Amino acid sequence: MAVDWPNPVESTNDMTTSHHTLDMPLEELEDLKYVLDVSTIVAITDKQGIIAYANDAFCKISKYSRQELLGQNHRIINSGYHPHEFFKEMWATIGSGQVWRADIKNKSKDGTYYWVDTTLVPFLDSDGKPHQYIAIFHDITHQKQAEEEVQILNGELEQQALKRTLELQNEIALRQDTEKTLQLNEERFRSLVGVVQDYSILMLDPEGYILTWNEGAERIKGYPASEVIGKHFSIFYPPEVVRTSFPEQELEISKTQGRFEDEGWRVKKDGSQFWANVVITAIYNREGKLMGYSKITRDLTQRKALEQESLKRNQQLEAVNKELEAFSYSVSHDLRTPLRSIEGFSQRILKTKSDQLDGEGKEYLGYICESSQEMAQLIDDLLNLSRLSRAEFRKERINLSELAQETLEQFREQETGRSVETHIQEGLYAEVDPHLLRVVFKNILGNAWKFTGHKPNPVIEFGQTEQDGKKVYFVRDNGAGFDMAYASKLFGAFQRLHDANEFPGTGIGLATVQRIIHRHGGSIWANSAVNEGATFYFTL
Amino acid sequence: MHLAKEKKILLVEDNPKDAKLTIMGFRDNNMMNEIIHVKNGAEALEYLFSTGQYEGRDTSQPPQVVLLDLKLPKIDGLEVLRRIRDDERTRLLPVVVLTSSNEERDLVESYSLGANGYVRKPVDFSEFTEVVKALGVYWLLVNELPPIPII
Repeated sequence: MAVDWPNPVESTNDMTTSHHTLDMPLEELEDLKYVLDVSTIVAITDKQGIIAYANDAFCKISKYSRQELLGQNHRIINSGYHPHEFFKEMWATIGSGQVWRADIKNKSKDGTYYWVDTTLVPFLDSDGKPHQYIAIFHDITHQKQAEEEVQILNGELEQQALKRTLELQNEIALRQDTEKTLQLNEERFRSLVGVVQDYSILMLDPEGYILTWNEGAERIKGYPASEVIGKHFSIFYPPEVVRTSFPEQELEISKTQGRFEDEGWRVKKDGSQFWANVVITAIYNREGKLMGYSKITRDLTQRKALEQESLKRNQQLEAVNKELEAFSYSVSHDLRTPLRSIEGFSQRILKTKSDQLDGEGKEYLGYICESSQEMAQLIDDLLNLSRLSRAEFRKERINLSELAQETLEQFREQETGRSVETHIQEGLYAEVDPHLLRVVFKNILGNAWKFTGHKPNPVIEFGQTEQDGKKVYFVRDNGAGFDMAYASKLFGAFQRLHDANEFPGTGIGLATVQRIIHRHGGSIWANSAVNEGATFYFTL
Repeated sequence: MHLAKEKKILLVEDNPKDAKLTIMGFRDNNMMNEIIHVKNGAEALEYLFSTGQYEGRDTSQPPQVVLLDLKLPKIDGLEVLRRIRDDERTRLLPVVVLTSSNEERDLVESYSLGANGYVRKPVDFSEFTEVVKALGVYWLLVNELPPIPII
């Protein structure tokens, strides 16, 4: 290929290669050109950078044909990779007539890039100004690619390292946080367990030796931590219990069943005993290995003492009850016996020896008989009253209206001479003890019956009303009534508000009634005025 | 009213006045039958089983009924009743508890042990006389003893 090999610039300057004087023969130059053409990439531009010459190697690497290259500015192969300053520096160097050398990334026609080790040699004119440049390139694309790859790899590596570093930093931060939390939790736990005063909380190792100790333990058992840590927990048991190896059994049960609870006497440091509730719980780690035991102890000595006290009281109460029962049995049996003699023999005298008595004598003997009978009645009523609290209590639903009706019928049968008007509200039911309610009705209706005895038109009423949303039953009569000033005495045993010769009675009836009503959880009260009848109200 | 004089009553009563009133009650009602009065549980058992002071007594005619007080010295009424029922010879002997007590447990216990009746002594003398009369009429006239001689 015929090439216009430009004339080398003549130069007086020896400082650059471009200033060599070409004084070798032409064929040598041709040879040199050949060598250059096969070994390197060569281009020649004018001072504006317009390509004036490109050798085959240049065409090959740039993928442009020579025709496409010639007359074009060298920028045609600019890859845009290098900054503006890069070329500015280049132009400054070669513009000043000096050789410039650098690795340049260029763009070929098909858009691919290639790297060339570039040497630009300015050819100077007579004024010492460059009039053209010769560019010699060496393809270093592979080297650069390798470098780039290494760089990319390095970059990736760096990023990975950075990433890992960040991760590690995060991990460290997290770990520090966790550690802090754990520490805090442990501190909290320690202080929580530590300051508990009411419970002795301690940890035992798998053999039963004490690992930890809290304030509660010190308070309850009397040992400071320093004296007790490392000791076997059987020191808290009375010697006779230790001999039965009960403490070891406790651990064994706790180990096999997870938990052991017991109440019993334990020993303090000073040798005194306390009644303890003990819960021993086996502690296993995640792998199922026994780590030891937690042992929580409460001092229940006071409660135990209270229990024993109350047991003692109950026993005393039972004894008192038994005595009372024996007493009432005595009353029932023994007090009646002499009365029967008094009554019996007085009657006997009245009957068989009356001819030997004057009027006064007969009268007095009559009083003796009457009094005996009154006393017998008193004894019976008193016994019934005392039986109430002992009687079995069984509630069932009964018809109170019918019960009232039946009770009044009985009074009618006993006193056929009397005519009493009765009003009974139908269909009143209640959950009560039928036997005890019969006693209530017998007494309240009996009172109404008795205290209307002197009235020309006696009326007795039974019904139900409501008061503060509660069912209230009432028995009303138009009888003698009573003075409300004595209302507080109404339900006391042996309290009577009427003279015996007017209305007989022992004064136990209403006391009995009140006791029954109270046993049903109800209450009873009355309203009355002298000679204007009385109303008894009760709830059940 | 025919009363077989040979029919006896065994009265177990520690209180002499009560015993006297009871006997009076029978006599007032024209019941002149023999009334054997023993004063405590031990004596009652001696009589029934012909031991002690009653050893060798005539056992040809058993009592028509035993009137048994409960509250007795030495051996109480319920124990006497138990021993009567435990012994083959007296197992079927009619026993009526005659007592001042009307305690429920006494009633229940008496019947549980095989009492044939339970009567509470009234304080009122005329009532008492009525009760004694009713007892006499029933046990001496109306009631039939088991055919086998008991003692």
